[in-house]
Amino acid sequence: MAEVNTEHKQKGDQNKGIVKKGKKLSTRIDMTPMVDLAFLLLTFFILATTLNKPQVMQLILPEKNQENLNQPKVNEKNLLNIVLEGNNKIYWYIGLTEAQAVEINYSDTGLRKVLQEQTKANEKIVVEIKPSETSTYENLIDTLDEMQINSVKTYMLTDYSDEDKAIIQRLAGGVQPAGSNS
Amino acid sequence: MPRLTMKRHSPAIDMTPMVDLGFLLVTFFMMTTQFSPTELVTVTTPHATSEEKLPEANNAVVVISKDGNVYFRTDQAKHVKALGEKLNTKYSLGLTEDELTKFSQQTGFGMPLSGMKQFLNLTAAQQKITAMPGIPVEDNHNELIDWLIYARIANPDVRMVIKGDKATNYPVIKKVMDTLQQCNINRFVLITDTEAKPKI
Repeated sequence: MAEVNTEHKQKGDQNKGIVKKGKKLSTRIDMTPMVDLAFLLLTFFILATTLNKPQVMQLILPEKNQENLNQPKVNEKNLLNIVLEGNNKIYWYIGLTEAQAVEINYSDTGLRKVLQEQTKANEKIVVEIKPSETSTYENLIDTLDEMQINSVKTYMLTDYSDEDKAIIQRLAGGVQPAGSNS
Repeated sequence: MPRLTMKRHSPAIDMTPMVDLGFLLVTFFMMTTQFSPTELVTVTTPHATSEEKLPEANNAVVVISKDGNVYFRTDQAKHVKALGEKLNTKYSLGLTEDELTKFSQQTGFGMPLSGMKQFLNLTAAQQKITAMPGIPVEDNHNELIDWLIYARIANPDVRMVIKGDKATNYPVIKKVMDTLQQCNINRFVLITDTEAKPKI
């Protein structure tokens, strides 16, 4: 170590004049390129970030293969059927026997009004959503969303059966009910 | 009267604080960025008033296109390889170690497993232009069920997410939901778009 140091000293002595003549550089550096780069990166990361996380809707379905278990029975008077048809049509009716289907749509005065009236009239109401084969995913989401908006306590997703088909065909057959609710 | 002389300021400003802030933000964004996953198909999700947000990690997404094709994507890259290994054994795809690595680099899957080996050997550019026919979900040939089961084995914390196009017909949605239920997954989330909450 000592040797190296002395060697340096000697070298320094030899070049003494040149070192002293060296121009005194400013301690400030031009930071502009670095700043440019930093902001370029910043812009990139801001743009690449997933700004809005997607929104989700929870859906919990009952377990399958539960046929042998005791499932609660519902009085059909408390059963509000909502059949989702193609072309954004909805049919609703209470119960199954002698049910009178009514055609409505997805507007505020359609499905929402029916749900509000029915939940108010009957606290024990159970809503059964039956999407037909011609309905779309949007129809289903809209209906599930309406359940949340109107805070319907019990609702379920079931299959569209031939029985439902018959009820709706009866309506299409020409027997139009007088009022929307009776 | 003495002439008023203004002190001359140098035109250079001290940029240090700005640079500090700039780098702070760069660091922040670098650490928090989660790149938006590239979707195999364009999907327009339906609108709903739900305000719940999708958690960032542990999602396995079943994407259903407008035409009813089903795709599968998961965000946990480290689990994809395990998933590939399981599918490889079950369907005897004969994937090599190299092909499994390629499998784990995929962002989404949308082809029958029989075509998987061939697909993995294509170059990235070729893969991009290859049409994805979707994962089979027919009753007699349901591969989605294995994707879901093995995804769950690979990562037990996985959350099942359905991302459907709003014009998708209900039977396809039902088939996917039934498949989920067959794997005993009764709790899942549906991706929706924002909509203002109505006044009641």
